[in-house]
Amino acid sequence: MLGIVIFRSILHPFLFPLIWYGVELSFLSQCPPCPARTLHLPSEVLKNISSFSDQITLHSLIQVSWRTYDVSSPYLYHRLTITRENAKKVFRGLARSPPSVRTYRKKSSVGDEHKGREGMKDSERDIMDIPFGIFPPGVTMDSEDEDEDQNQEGLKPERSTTTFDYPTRRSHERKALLLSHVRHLTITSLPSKHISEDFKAHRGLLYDKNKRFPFIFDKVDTLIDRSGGVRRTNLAGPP
Amino acid sequence: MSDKKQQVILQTSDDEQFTVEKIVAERSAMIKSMMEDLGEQEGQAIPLPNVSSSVLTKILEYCDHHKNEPLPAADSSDADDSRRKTSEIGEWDARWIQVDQEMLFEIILAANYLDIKPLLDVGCKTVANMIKGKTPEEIRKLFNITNDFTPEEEEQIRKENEWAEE
Repeated sequence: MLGIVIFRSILHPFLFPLIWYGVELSFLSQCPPCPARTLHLPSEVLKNISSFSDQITLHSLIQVSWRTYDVSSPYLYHRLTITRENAKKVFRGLARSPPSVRTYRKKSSVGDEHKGREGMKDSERDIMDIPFGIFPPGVTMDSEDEDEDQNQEGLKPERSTTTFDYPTRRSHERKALLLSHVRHLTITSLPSKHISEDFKAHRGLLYDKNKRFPFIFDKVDTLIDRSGGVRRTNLAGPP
Repeated sequence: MSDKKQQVILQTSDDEQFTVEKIVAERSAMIKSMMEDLGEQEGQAIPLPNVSSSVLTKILEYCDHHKNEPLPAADSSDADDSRRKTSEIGEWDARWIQVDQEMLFEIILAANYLDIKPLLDVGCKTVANMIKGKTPEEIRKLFNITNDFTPEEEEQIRKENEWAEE
């Protein structure tokens, strides 16, 4: 308001005719052209909106920004149904066991095996972006054939891939966190053997004493198993 | 005198004063607790620096309509409750909330600030219906949110949650 007063007094002779012709000066108090108002919906409000949204919309919401991702994902994952068909997509992002990691590598490795993306040395790359594999219990490197680089063991991240750097430790942690939001889990049919093996391995991994990763399915309240293939087990317990 | 006791003065951000029935003002858990704190200090206006007079007028209409309904229990919303709820809106509320988008967001922000849970729900349900089936880009435009994903992250996040498209 003060600004307007000063404005008016400086430009008084100039503005006077406007007043004289009955033109409202109030429009001057707005800033022409007004920048789009930045709307900041508090997280509490975004949460509330998420709670009234359906699955398709929640899927859109988590792709809007990191903030909506964090706020909306618990709602998207609150209730989850796993089928043989969708299991691959549901677990996408989690670390995979060696065979699939190796397939990836075969497809993707070109040229210098010791260089990462954009010519960076592995040591210079963020550890979170290094391809990440797991070893299901009972599978050791010795049991794998045609293994040319022997630098893998246990949780050591994968090295020497190029463009297909996925899944990574980052994607693994991200997906593990999403799956830790699940409260009601329904299994209608069993995922393929390979995915089940990976899943078994994740559970072994997740209950390690160091608790290095978010727990998958550790907050499941109800488990409905319609697959007929497994006994009803308490997922929240140790494997 | 006893009649006066039932009233409360609310002062908006643009310095307008509203004399309101206590039972109406109490729909706001925030005002209710402020009144309790102020106690017997009669005639003292309760400042609402985050609410403009045009928004408060609109909100008081809502509060007046619902003044005789039971107040929601305090802390009824569990912080960790990620259950999904129905987005149906009552008939009167649906008509009342037919405002332009700017006003809608102002109402939501004010309801959040004033802590009027049922009103916040009505506003959020309305927004939820507005964004139903919209793409991430459309939602960004509507909320004026900047996309802070890298293209790589965006692609990974879309794929990691692709199961939800079915």
